Amino acid sequence: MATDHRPQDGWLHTSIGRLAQLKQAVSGDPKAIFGLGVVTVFLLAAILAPELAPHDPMAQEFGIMDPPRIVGIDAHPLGTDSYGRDLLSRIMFGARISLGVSLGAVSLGALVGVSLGLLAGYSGGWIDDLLMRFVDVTWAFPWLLVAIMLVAIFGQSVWNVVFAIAFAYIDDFARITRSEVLSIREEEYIAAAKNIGVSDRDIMLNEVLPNAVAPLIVQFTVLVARAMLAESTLSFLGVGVKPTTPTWGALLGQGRGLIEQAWWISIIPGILIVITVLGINLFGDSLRDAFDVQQGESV
Amino acid sequence: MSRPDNSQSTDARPASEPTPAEFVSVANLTKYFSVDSGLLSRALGSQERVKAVDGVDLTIRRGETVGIIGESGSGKSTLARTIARLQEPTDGSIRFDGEHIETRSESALKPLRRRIQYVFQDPLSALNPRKTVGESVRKPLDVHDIGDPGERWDRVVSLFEEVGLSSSDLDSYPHELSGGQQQRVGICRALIIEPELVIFDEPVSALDVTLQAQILNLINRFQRELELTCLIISHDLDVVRHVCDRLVVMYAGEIVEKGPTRDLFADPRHPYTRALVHAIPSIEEDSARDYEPLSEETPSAIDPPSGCRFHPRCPEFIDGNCINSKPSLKTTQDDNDRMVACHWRERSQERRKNHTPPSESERAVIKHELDT
Amino acid sequence: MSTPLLDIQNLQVTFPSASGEDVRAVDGVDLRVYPGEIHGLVGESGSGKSVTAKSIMRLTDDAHTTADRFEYDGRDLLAQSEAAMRSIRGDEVGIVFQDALSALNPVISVGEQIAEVVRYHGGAAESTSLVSELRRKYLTGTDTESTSWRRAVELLEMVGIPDAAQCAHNYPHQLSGGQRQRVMIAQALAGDPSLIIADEPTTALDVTVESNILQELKRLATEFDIAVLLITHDLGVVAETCDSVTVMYSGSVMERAPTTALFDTPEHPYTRGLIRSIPKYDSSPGEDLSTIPGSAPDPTRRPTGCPFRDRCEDAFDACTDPLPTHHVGEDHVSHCHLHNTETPGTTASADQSRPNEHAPSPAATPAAEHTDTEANLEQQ
Repeated sequence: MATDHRPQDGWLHTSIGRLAQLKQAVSGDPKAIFGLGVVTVFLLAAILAPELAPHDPMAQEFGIMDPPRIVGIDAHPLGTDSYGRDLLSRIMFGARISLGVSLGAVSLGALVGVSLGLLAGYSGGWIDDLLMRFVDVTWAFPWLLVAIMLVAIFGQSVWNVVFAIAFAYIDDFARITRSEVLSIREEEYIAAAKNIGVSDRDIMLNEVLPNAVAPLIVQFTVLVARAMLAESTLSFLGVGVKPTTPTWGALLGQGRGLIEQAWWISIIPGILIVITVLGINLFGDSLRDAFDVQQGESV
Repeated sequence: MSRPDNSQSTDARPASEPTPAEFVSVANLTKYFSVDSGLLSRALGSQERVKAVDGVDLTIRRGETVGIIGESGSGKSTLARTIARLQEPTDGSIRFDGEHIETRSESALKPLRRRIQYVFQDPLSALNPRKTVGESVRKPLDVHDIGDPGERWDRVVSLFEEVGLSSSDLDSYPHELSGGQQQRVGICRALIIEPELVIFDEPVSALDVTLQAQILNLINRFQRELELTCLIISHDLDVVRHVCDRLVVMYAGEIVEKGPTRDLFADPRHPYTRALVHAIPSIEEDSARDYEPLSEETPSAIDPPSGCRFHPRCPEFIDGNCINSKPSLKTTQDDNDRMVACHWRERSQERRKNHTPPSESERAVIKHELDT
Repeated sequence: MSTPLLDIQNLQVTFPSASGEDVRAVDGVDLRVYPGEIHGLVGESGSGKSVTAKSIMRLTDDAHTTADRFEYDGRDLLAQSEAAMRSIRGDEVGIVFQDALSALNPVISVGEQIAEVVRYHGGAAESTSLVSELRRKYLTGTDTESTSWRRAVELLEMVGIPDAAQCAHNYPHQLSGGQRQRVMIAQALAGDPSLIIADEPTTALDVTVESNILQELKRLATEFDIAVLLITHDLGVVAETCDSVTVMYSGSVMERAPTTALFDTPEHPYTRGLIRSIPKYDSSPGEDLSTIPGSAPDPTRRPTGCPFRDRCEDAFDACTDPLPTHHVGEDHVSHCHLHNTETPGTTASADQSRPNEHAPSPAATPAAEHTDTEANLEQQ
């Protein structure tokens, strides 16, 4: 006779559960709190830039190369650059672009890489060989070169950066996924799923992938940090976004020649890049711990 | 529990035509595993292969419970997994309810998956650690589209309660349950789609004695209520003794003896079966402990002994025949229901009683003579 | 009775846990092993038998261990320093673990591993300095002419390994399961101990090999007058090998008796239930096995008094009190409140202790409480 108890279906319930686990993993650990804090601030700045930024990032009306001044009518907390643009606003808007580019690039790389790795690892045989050789090619091809090629063909734009960086990360995701899948494939519960009659596609997506996800999530956060640096590099070299776009790397590049006169133009974005990358890495660590907490439970 | 009619051994019939009572019919089933997958050895054909199952004939009638016993390396698990089509056989045929299933593709096997189910040996590793046990048990219903989606949870809950789990266990993850509970979940998952044939791979070996008794009672009960045909793999003779109608004894990938459970225990005919029966540590006072223990020379699966595979360890070794020719599995003169693969079958029991097996050195001499 | 070699009274072992709920794995256990006897320590999973064994050798020092008496050969083990324990382990007490493959060092030959024990504990007059050991491990191996090596080969022969001189050069993975277990026994014997603690030594082995190993163990114990503490969950093993037995359940001792007495006249309901759960020789297939319903309690949530009372058919009010000690016969002790009353209980009949005798009809039930968990599974 059935009772009234029904198990909670759905992703909402699971997500709430995961958040609770994350909170448990983070609390008490200063590194994790720092990481979470940094990521939160970064996200807020990026999302709310239009509302919070004191000035239009493109407006060139202000004093040229004004040093940072907190108070006063013409206050620019982080100074202005050589075109007279407010640095704080440029940095906040820059955060949006950096966020968008990093997340976008890593997501794209993950989508392609995980799919390839999943298919290769699960199928084995010639499919595995073929796909992994393709992945080897992407790995061997220098991403900087790809970026330059794209710029040469399409001119400077944000999308070049996204594609170039995504291209660089495909092999990371593919290899990790494949190696996880190779070991999960041999697990007894996969044989049990086959025994029930579950289709291969269903097994790949619902039985194998959820169990492979833990290292992928950590890799994701690590690569977002790296993507930020990569984007900074490209912009710094002038192979990335258009010169006026205020990404942090671009800001770094623009201030390079003016270090002696107006140190704030390069140094402040540089410091922010370091803090943000560090914060994202630490956040990734605590995410990994959150997953381990769940898996580490034993009767 | 009704016992099937034992009057005639169906194995004596020609292998081509299955009788209606033969539910599962396996002929010359062979499963080899390659050891070395390098390109060169594949090309040269010089691969070493593990001969896990080597030419097995087996029949299972509807409604009966057959036990397959053997030690590690006997091939019993591989045999079970191949019959359940978790693997494809290297050679031989498997007939299920009259139809050949040995070469069917995965998609063609799907309707079969509803009729043949498998309970795995280690219940924890057979459950997806990321899914609640309720979800895992419900999955077969979704895959085979059984019943109304709305009432599938009801089925899961009621089956849980029947096996002694509570409905609050539905939301638990496998690692949160005890070994006994995990095994009950495994049984639920197999039975929820009401299969006809259930294969249990060492169903209780990971459990404590008192739990073993509970699970065995459960298996017995379901077998009665659902009229299941069961195949039980075990290395523990106490388990099969209690649950099975007929037993099949395996050694080094081959069947060495088969017959009704009680007869096999009362009068084991194959020397290996005798050794097994006498080796069980037992709490009974009258178990024959003067039996000579077997040597520990377990047979290599890659290069098994010639002739009778048991001959290097056999305490009843006769002569060169044992090394030279493989004894075939046949019925004995006095008992149509029992089959033994041993050269003693052709000799009188009288001679057997008075036989002294040759010593190690004498055997070495015999072997040497045969080689030259 | 001579004085016990191992004398433990009221052992308590508690593992601290991060969540604050300490786990009392061993809750007031008495254990005695006399010189030269094979004593079985029987229990299901969660009974605390392994923890008891490990605590004897102070291998559970992350836990809080207390006892009224905890003596080996008259010496208080809890008072020993770690250095003193190290010299006891291997030298006076040998340990055989369950899984030889993981207990043996995979990159050192078996001969070398045994020779090492001989050098440290067996009295061979060879240097055991760090430098010489490093040299042996990484460069030369043990000199095959040395005393320690020759003793190692001798030990391998003693435990029944064929071709011992050759086998000593092999690595653990090259040996079969049974051979590895014999190597473990040889290693335990290498220091000339008076006690061997064997933790489920044959559980991982095939039945035919198991009986060989057990017979070997028995022979060695008798020949060299070594006491053995054999930990197992298998009553059959106990019946065949042990002189006396201690039965544990959920951290406490339920019964202790000489082996024949335990199987002929088990006094404790748990022991009786355990024996009856084993499929009997002449049981008919299809008939339900008698079983103890339910499962062992969570160690953090044991019932007060007798840990078995929630599953015991004869449980009554007094069972919430701490376990009494009831002396049944010579060296036969049962910890059960039933002995303090006149009522026989449903499991009281001694006739049904041995499996090849008939199951009697239930005796008159006293006004006892029936715990009826999982009623649909239980059958009497």
